[in-house]
Amino acid sequence: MTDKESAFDADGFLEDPQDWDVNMARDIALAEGLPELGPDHIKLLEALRRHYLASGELPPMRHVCRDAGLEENCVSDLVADPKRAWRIAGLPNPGEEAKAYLESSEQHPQPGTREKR
Amino acid sequence: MADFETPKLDDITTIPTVKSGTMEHSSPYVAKPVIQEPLGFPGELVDDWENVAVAKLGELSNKYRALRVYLDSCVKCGACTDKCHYYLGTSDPKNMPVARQDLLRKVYRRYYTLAGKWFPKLVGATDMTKEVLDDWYSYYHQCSQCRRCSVFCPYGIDTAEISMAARDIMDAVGKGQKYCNEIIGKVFKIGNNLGLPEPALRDTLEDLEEEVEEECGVPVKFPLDQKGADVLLVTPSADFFAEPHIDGLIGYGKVFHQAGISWTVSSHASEAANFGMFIGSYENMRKVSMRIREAALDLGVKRIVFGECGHAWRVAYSFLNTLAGPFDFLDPKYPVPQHICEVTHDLIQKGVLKFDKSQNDHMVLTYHDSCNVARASRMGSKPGGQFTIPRDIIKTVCNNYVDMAADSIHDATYCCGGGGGLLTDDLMELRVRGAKPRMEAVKQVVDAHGVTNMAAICAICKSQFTKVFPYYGYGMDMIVSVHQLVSNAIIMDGAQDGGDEDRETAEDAPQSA
Repeated sequence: MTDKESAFDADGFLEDPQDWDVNMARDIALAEGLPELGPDHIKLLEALRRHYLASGELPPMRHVCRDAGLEENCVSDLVADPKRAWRIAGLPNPGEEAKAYLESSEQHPQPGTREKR
Repeated sequence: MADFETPKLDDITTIPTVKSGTMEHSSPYVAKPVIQEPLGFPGELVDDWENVAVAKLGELSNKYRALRVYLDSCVKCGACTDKCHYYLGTSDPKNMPVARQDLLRKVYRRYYTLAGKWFPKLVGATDMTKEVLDDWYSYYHQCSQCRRCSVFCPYGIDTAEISMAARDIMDAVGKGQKYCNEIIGKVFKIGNNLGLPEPALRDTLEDLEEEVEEECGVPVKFPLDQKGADVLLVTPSADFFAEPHIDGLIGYGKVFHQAGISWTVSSHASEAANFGMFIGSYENMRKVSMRIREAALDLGVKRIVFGECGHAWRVAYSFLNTLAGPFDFLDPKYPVPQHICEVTHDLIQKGVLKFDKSQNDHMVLTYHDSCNVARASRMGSKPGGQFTIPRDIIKTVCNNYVDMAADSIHDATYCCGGGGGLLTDDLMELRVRGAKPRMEAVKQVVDAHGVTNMAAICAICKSQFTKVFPYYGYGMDMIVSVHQLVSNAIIMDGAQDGGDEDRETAEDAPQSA
C-alpha cells in the first residue's frame, strides 16, 4: 500500500473513490486493525459505496445493512465503527459534521482508566 | 493530543479543587483559508492583528449594548465559579465563567476604560498579545455557550455572549475554528451541515418511507420540496442520517400523517442548525436563516415547524423574525415558528393522537433539558412550557418516567458537554470531562430508579451522549429522541399488528450500566 499512501488525506480517507478495490480494502482494514474481511464485510462495503456514489448520500447505517441483506446492526457488528467502515470502503472525507455524526461504537475505556489518543 | 482520564463519577456533584492549566492544551483545529474566505473572514492571521482585534472589540461593545454591560458590570462575587460543567469536569480555573469572561474583559479594560488606559495593573487590564489570543482560542472553545452560569449571576451576565464576541473577533483577525466554519460553508454551498445534496436527501427519505411501511404497514410519506404543503419542516440534517436522530424524524412523519397535516422538507433549507450563532457572526447567522425564508416562500407553505434541535430553536424562537422576517405570508393562526413538540402536544390535547404506552414499557425514561431550549427560548403559551411540554409528551407515550435531580434540570440543566460548536473529535477530552455533572445526575436516577434511557430534543446532545455515555460505562443507545418514543407508541390508522414484532422486547432493552 506504500505507493498509494499519497492518495489518502490526513484523516485517513481515500481521496479518489475510483482508486478503490477489494484488495485495497483489505490493506486499509489491516491498517485499521481489522485483520480479515469476510463476504459480509464486502457486501457491507459495496452497499455503502453504492449509496454514497449514486447521490452523495450519507446513508443511515441501518439502510446500508438492509440494502446489503444483513442484520440491522451490521456496521457495529462487523466493523465496530461507521467512520472506519467509511475509510475501508474507500470513500472520501465526508467533512467535519459527518465525521462528528459517524459515531463510534468502539470499546471505550472504563472510568478511571487512561486513554491513549 | 494528550492522554486523558475519564473522570470518576461522584455520588453528588462536588466542587473540585482548582488545578491551574489542566486544559490549556485543549484547542480545536484552526480553519484554513479555503474555509475562512467563503464566510467573509481573512484566510489567516492578518498583519496588524492586534489593532484589528482591539478595533473589532470596540465595534462589538458599541453595537451590542448587552456585551458592554456584561463587560462593565461584573463585581467578582463568585456566584458563577462552580456553575460551569467544564470547570466541574476539568478543575481548570480558567473554566470558571468569571475567569473566562475576564480573558476578554482585561483587554476591553485596557483599551476602552479610563482606569485601564492609565492604571492597567491596578484594574487587571492587559494589552492584546499573542498569549492573550492563544488563551482566547483555547478557552473560548471550552465554553458551550450553555448559559447555566448566567442563571446564577446576580447581574445576569451572559458568558455565552462574551464567548460569541471573542469568536467573532478571532474570525475577524483570521483565526477561525475549522469545525464550525467548514460547516457554515457547507450550508451555503449545499444547504445543510452534513453536505447532503438534493438527490441524497431524496434517496434517504425514500428508504425511510420503505422502512416505516415495512415496520407498521402504513404508507407514511417523507416528502421533499413539495410545493403547496402546509408545513415546512426544518430539522437538523443529523435527523436524515444518525441514530437515534432518524427515529425522531420517523416520529415527526407519523404525527403529521396521523393528524392529516401535509408537510415537506426543503432541499434548500435542509438544516435547522445555525452555527452562525456559535461563532457570534450576525451576518452568517442571517445568511443561514434566510434560506428558511426563501424555502418557505418558494414552496408556498403556511407554517414553519422546527424539528428536535436545541440551538436551532433558540435562533428560531428568539431571532428568526428579525433575522429573516417578517413572516406575514404564513398562516397567522399558528406560532411562527413552531416546535415539533408544540405540534405534537397540541394534537395530544385535542385528542387527535392515540397511544399504546406499553410499547415503551421496556424503558424507564428520564429527560435531559437541552441548554438552548431551557435557557434561551420557550414553548407553548405558558412560562416554563419548554420544560413541561416535552415531559408531558413523554409521560403521554411512556409509563415509566423519572426526573433527574432538581439542580440538574429545567433552567439549571447541565450541558451535555458538546454544544456551542464543540462537537468535534479534536475536543474529545473536553467533551468527556464536561459531561461529568450530567453523568452524575444520570447515575443517581439509574441507581435509585432503574432508569434505562434518557430522552432529548437536540441533535448535538444526542450525538454527544452517544459518544460519551460509553466512557462512563453506559450504553451508547441509552440516549433516545423524544419523537422516537412517540413513534414507538403512536397508534396509526390502518396499521398492521405484524409490524410490532420487530420492536424491542423487555429482554432486548439497552444495557445501561
